Amino acid sequence: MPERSGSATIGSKLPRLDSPAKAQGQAVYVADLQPQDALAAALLRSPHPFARIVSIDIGDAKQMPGVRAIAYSGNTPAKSLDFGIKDQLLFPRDLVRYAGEPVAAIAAETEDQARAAATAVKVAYEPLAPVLSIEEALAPGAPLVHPDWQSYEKGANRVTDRNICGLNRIRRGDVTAALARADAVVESSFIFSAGAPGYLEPRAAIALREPDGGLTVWCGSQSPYGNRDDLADFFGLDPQRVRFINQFVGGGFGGKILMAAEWYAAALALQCDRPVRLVFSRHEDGLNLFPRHGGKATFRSGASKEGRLLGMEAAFFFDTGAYVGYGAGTALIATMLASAPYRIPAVDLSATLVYTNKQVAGSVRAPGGPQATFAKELHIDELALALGMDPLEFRLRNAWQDGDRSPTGQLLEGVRVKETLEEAARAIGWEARRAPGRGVGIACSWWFSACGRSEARVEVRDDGSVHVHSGNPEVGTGSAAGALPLIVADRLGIDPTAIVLTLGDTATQTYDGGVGGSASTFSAGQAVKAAAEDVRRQLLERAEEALEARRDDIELREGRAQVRGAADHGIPIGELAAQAGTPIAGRGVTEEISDPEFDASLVQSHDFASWLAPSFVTSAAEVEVDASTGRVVVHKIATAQDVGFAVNPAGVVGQIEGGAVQALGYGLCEELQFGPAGIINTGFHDYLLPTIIDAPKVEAIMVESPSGAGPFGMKGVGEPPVTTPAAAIGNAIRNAAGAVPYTVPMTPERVWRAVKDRRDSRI
Amino acid sequence: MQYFEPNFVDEALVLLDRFGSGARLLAGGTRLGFALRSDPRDVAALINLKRIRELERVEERDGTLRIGALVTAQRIATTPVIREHAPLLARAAGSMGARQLRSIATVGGNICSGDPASDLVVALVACGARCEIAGVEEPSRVLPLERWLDERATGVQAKELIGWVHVPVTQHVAAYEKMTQRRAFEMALVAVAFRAQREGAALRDVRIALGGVGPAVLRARGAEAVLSGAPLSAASAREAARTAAERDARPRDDARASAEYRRHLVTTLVERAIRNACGDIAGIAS
Repeated sequence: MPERSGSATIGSKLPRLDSPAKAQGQAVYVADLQPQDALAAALLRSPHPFARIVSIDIGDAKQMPGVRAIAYSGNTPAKSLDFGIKDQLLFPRDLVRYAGEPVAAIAAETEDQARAAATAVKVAYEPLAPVLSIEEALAPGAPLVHPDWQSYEKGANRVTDRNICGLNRIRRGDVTAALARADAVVESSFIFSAGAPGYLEPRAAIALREPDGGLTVWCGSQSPYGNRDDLADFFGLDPQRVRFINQFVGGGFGGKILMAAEWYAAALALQCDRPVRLVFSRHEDGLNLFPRHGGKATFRSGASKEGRLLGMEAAFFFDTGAYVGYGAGTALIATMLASAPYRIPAVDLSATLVYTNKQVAGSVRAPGGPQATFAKELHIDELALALGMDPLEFRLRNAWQDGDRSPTGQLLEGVRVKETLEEAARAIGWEARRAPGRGVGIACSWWFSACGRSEARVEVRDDGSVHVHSGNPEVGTGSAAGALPLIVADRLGIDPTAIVLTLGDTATQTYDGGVGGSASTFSAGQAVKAAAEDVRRQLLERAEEALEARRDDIELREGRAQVRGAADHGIPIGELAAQAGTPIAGRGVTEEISDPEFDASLVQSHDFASWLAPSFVTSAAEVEVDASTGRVVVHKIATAQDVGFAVNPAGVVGQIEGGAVQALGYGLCEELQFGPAGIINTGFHDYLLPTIIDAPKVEAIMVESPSGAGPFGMKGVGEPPVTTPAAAIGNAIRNAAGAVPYTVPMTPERVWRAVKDRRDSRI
Repeated sequence: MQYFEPNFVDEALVLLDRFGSGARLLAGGTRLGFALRSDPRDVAALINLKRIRELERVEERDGTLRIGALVTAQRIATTPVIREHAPLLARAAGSMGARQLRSIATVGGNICSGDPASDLVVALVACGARCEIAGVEEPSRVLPLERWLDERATGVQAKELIGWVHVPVTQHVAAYEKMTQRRAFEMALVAVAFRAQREGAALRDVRIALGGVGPAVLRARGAEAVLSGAPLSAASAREAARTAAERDARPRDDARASAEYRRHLVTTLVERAIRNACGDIAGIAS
């Protein structure tokens, strides 16, 4: 039985409860599970980026030693997965659309047997000319990645046109007239490389068909309930008989929202009566990951000589790969960020989503955020420099204030742009004189707090133990294993480290929308808070009787209910449960919060035109540039973020620090490279994540302005801090070296070239 | 695939003789591991050298530093006798990968993997290192590392193994410069090692090695000629750097960098190396 002493309150720093197990190597990940009778699975992947499937013959493969099941288009439902456009089958039938696309899955007694059998599946391909870039996709007469695009079912707001699978737009005022009036107009074009989510644990899953016709799946997912529902729907199973059990997750960063290994393990398990275990190698994971969208953007904006922004045009194009996947979110968010957080009377902001014959892009932490922020903030600096204005001053002059409207007409309250700008500038020493080769840059933006459905149960048992069930999985963000127990501890007056957490097991019947959209603490936190308050009420009620005291005089503290000021006049909460003869349990569910109002006449095909509990963030960076090699050393990143209220400041600071380093990788060295055979740099030997030596000093500054919507006034904190640092680094590079590449990552070669080209053009 | 752990060099040679081109020597395994994972089919025998103690020795004798093929990069970076007599080599070793990698990667393995940007090989070539080779058919022979690298490229060495590298101990000045895209744990885009003997204001026995700009580690002989015997000046340092980039280097475009950028890096890094090593001679310190 856990020792209980002390308690903790929200707003105090709680180290994550999952840290000790991870640090000591005791955490159990999916790949650590080795059921005795498990079959091993392997996938056969398309070697072609684009090809017609003439035939698939599994006859020989079935006869191979040890083979127990083969799943492919011939024996799985011909049903499309639904991402707003029904364009993707589990296994391709007529066409393979990217190199690495799984064509068949095999389960055998050993992994070697499964791999051998995979090579014995005979697939006859007729290779087609692939579309490998946005330019190729949009060229007149381009091959169609989806020749049947016109016949696909799709959602109301989805625009499709040949290789285009999304187009959304925000228009307000007359941009042409505004730019004609401007004293300075600049136009800038940007290129974004695709990036990997960068989690350490490759995807893995184990699936087992249950005697009752159900299925159990052991996974490492960001969204076990959503995955369960998708899987049950696809295979026509009763979702109540499908159980997803989340193990420890070695990072997700948006890359584990959608299923990968789970699909194939499940498809095979439904054909046999033994567990099927599929563990991706790093290389396979690299072929199967959901990258951050690559793309490009062009911005054109004008301002008056007093430094007032008058108009802006921005057009984004994103490469979403072979299927639409979660591409719509990236495009929508990019348009919402393009002109923010600035007052601009006239805007025309659009984003086009394009099919190519590449791996399907996904929702990597703050989808669209780093891309859009990089482009707009380097563009804003260029305009400030054209006006001869200090970039900080230019931003402050145009920043939103309370009562302003967002580009879609949403009324903005509690705006903290200026505070975050001023705090970040102060932390970096904006005014300080610097040695040659050193420079500073600043970048600001806004973000949202997503609220999804979430349920929780909190239970005090007669042995005094406190159990918390939440559907929200801990994937490394520190929400489920940090903020949630802290909220329960705060409400019940107990030690958070003594809480027994059950997370992301669908058998607990506590639905949760999963980790994404900075929603975990915002949504699951509400549910947990409601459940804990229900338990608190019951405890106080029982304590009233047991202690013969008035409820107002009783406090819950250090695991006991006691009369205020009379510590010896109390009773352990476990005792209250024992007296009740049943665990004292409470349930909580998130309240529906409606989205803020916006002006529908300003938006076209837009599903996400107003943002709940918006937050504001600014990063400032100090860099040193060696112009003769292009090497950039980032000395410091300061991020000032409006977090609403920091439930667990240790967790918030962790998110800001991690965001800064992840963004540094995005800005300087991370780049997925594609060849005809798919992603080339599938491992961390060639895909360059920043190392600890590259990591700068990060100063995390929390600006707290309560949201009025989230639990305790909090806002979503996970995504904003990854959106601004790369742009701040870019602006700092220009400040230091006089030039900056408009391409991320800003590799040494690109920096060297940008500086050289500027020098060359002066000669 | 069969697996062996010989205790002596002679035993390893017998195995090499027996399995011929199907044999693979395992030292640290940082490279061989990749190769085995991607295609183990041609490998008939894996010969792990880890038990051969004599290949782990480091000693200085008669003006020569002898370093066993199994000595790790971490030991090269930290062993006092190497730091004293071949600081260039120690510095290059210390710049490799990360500590975990340095602790298993060996000098022999680095030479045999043929990586054109190996920090150790770039430094060893500049140091004028020689390899002591044990072979089945003849007694051990000693030849310049560069010659061995050339022979390796022509593929005639199946039944030999590198036992030791010899580094001459002389008075010299040296510098090591490299460029990577991030600051650690990455093969250099370009690496430059410079070593020379000083004679007043002039340099003698100049050796410049270039990594990452050819199919193997290269000597920048053109640049060496510019500097050898003549008084060093800012102009001659620049001229040597230009010669190294334009005449000696043979870079190609690849996924990590363009040939043009690599050539530019050679210019910058060679000039930097000369300034860092000899800045006090002609007042050209950077």
